[in-house]
Amino acid sequence: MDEIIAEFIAETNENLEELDNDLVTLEQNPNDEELIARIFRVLHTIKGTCGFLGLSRLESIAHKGEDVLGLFRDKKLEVKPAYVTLIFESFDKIKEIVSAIETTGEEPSGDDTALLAKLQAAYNGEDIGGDETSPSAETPPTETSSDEFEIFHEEEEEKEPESEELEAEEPQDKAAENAANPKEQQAAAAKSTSTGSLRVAVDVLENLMTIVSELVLTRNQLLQIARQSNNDEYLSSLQRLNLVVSELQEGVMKTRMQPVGNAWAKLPRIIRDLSHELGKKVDLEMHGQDTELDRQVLDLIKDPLTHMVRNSADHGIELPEERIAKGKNPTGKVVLNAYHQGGHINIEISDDGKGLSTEKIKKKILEKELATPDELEEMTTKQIQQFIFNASFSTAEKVTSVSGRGVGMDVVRSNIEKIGGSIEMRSEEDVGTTFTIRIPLTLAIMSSLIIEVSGQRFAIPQLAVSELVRIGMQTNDIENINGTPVLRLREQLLPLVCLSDLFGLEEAEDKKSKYIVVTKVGSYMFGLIVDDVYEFEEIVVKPLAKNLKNIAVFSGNTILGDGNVIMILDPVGILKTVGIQDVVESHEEEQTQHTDQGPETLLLLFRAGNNTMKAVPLDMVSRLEEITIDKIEYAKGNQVIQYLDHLMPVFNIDTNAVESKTRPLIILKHEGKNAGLMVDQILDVTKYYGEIDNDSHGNVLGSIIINENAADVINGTSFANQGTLINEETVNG
Amino acid sequence: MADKIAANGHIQVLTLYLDNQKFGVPILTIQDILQTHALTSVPLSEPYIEGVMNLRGRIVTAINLRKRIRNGQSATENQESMNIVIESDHELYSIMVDQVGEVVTLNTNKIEDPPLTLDASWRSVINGVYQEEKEIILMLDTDKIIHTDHV
Repeated sequence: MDEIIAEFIAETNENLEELDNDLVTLEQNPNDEELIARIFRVLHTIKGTCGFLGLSRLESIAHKGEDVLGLFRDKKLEVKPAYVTLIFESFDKIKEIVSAIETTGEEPSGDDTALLAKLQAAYNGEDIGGDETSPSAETPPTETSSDEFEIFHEEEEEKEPESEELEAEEPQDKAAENAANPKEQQAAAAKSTSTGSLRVAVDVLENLMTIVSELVLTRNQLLQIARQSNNDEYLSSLQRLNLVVSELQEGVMKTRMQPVGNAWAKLPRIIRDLSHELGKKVDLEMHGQDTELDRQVLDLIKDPLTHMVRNSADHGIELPEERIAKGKNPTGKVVLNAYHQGGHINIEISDDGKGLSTEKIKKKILEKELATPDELEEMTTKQIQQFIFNASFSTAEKVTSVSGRGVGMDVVRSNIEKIGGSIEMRSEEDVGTTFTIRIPLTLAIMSSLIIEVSGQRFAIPQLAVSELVRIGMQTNDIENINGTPVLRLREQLLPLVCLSDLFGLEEAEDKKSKYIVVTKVGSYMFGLIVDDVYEFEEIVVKPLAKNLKNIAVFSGNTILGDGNVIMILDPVGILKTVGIQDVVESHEEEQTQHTDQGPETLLLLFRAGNNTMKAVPLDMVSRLEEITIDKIEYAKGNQVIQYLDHLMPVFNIDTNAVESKTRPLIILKHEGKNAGLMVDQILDVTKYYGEIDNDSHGNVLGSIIINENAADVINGTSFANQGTLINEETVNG
Repeated sequence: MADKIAANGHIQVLTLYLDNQKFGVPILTIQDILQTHALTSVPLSEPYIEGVMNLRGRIVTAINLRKRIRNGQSATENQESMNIVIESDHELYSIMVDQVGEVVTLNTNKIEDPPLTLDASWRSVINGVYQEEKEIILMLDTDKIIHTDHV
């Protein structure tokens, strides 16, 4: 019996979630018969199963709801918002009861007479053929016994539309039945195809994931050992194992993937309720629902997302009158957009509402004494806007039942940062606000950079690392402002954190050079001073033990291929530990000074052929490698190398290349295609302000002046398009 | 499992030594006993946390019992330590002691409350005292050792 109830709960929850959206649609298209039939069917199923399971409260609500929907279906009652709200109410009640059953295993006691009376009123109030139908509707208890039995049978026969209650209206019902029948068949067909999938308990998947994680670790360890031994026999089977484990890992990861749309399912309903409550007109647009991400991540972003969408509708979108006065469409728009980018997912939430009011924020800042008037004077609009991420900050003039209690964006931000993500915001008054959330695809396995500080190794999530800078200790690359180390990086001042100081470790001696790991939190950049940088390694994140959790600078630990345990650094925690609580974006402002000179492009400078300087837009560059010339092979007459298990074409820009054994290789990437560009020397990364023609189809986009030298800008797209499709995520994490 | 607990009212205990004091840990809580193991120290952690280590693919947090009892001030450094691995809330911890003794069966009725005059930091990790003929066994409370409220 318990199993039946559990199944019933799972099924009901699923159905109800779908129905929420159906109802919102119904309200907009009241004449959609198919929709009505679907909603009717779900309620009917609930009613039937409840009767069978002896859940009387659920049954009576479902029954009354079904009656009202029956009238919609038979066109005896017009679909009005008030009725839809009532149906929503019934669904909420059903959900409430179902979740109570889920936790306690029993139907909770409670009084639903008010709701039932309302449903009855709806049923009677607008009743057209009242006399014939109401008796059967009013006497559910006497009928349920026969109902149950019949419904039970009906369900076995693919749920034929029922009609026994409305016997008096047979002609109409017949029509409805005929109309519904093809859909029933469709549903049945859909059902039979869906047997290709099956329901698996989350625990089982979680457990599987843990085991695979262990397997990955063991494989890493074996590979480490293999590198030191020269036993060929052993090596080849290990390579096979390596491949199989990678595939297994990928497969198991896939089972955990869910479309982001699952986290959005509730949003149309929320927006609908909100706009009714606030008297606003809001359209919700959703794009990229199919974008998949890890279940665990999905669960964690569900609440922040809901909160932000709510915020957009509540604080962002203006009242219709206001919008008309501003010359906008009276119906506001909230757009959700999700898409992949690199090893992470971006989710954008934008609205075309009133945007953030700098004046209001300023007032609030002063009120809460978060900054002095003088400080405010100095701040840019963007910096001021960042204050909405501050704790206890809400600009809504009055607290509505929806939002504005002061726990807002700061919680959202910390929740997102907790899972290694970041959030950025752009807002323009009267135009709208856009939030961009960037989150990792998965939390279980992530690519991390292994670094060394004072002889001890640590891992930094790759997502946070934006660049590595090598510095000589003899030259004074690191400067000090009142004892605080800083680095001049491309004319910007990069604050530095010395990890050995932070950890209270002794500084490693006789180091000729050190590295700066340029780390990004949101859009704030800072550098970590480390002694050495190793490779990127795919690591399995393990949570910290309880008595280590209070150390903010670590987000977890892991076991490396060599069997050692290392700690995973948390960039946000490091910032907090050094005393930067609320990151105010500073570096972006410097860029705006140059806007009059045209758009800014980051270029990678290199030398290739004839000792001339060339450049390629940095956003096209996926990696820099060094290859030995003898690695180059020929396929169909073209030069190729083996890269990430694929054959990737490599190109020479100029034929008269410098003769040498190893050559730097720029891996270009465009729309998933990779190609290599052999060059003589990698020079630097620089900024260029101004237009670079992008329409050219040749190999050179144009020539520009950089540091008083001429440089050809290489058309990376044209090279990359000749490349190979390589899915780096699966190989590289 | 049943044979590890003797007839009602008895408990099997592993004895161990720290600074020549005999302690006891219920044998059923123990997962493993290890020799010295490679440790990764954890910066900024409590002084009594010696580090973390890899035990067959699981991460174990090592607690130096001497430092734990003496609030971080270790009088004598003993390199020859043994690790008693226990599990708590699905997490593994290792309690580092000087030496492991033997398994003894104790009558639970004869386990008394620790004397109130005992130093508070000692009392914070033991939950009973057992009198043997020649020695006194202090019963370690492993949960208290792991979950500390004091800073």
